[in-house]
Amino acid sequence: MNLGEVGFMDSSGLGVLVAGLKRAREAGGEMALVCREGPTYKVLAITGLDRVFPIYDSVDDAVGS
Amino acid sequence: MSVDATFSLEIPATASHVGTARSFTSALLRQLAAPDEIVQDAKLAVSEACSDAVVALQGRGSVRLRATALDGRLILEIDAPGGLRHSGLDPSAPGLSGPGRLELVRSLFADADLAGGPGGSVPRLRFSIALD
Repeated sequence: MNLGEVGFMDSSGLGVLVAGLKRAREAGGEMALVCREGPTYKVLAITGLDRVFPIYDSVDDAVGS
Repeated sequence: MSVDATFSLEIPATASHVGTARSFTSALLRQLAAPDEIVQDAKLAVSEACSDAVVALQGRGSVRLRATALDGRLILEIDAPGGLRHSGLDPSAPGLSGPGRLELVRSLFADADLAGGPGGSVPRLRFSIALD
């Protein structure tokens, strides 16, 4: 999921991401985030979710992983 | 201590109005020449506090945001003036929404805390921001 254009996200948004990750993994898949430094990344970092989601700098990096 | 200025906003306790509280916070801090990182952190803290109050109020009543500029700091207080006796920000509440949100706010502003509201019945989240 590309969060590059997300200007703001709080823990309500994090809940949606976590639910998506859970569903993806239950289906045998994976969910990665594309997110650079900034307010959105900071929310992921201070909640520890930067260690739960694979996070990449670009869509190309995520697809190529 | 002298109060430099007080600003307040009261919004209906619905999720769709939490963005109004964020916009209010952002506009006020930019007017006070706060750095962008502080503006972003304050928006997040206000969003968490207001969202939790909305959940606790279950769409009834209103949420109040009060900002007081005092001695080089901006003190932000979020409460529910309609007489809410139970807040989702109650640190003893189970689940993510209560303590999780409060801890998130505390990670941004170390002095964030719950305090009794008027009459001692209304929990109120309070934190402050250095303006200089």
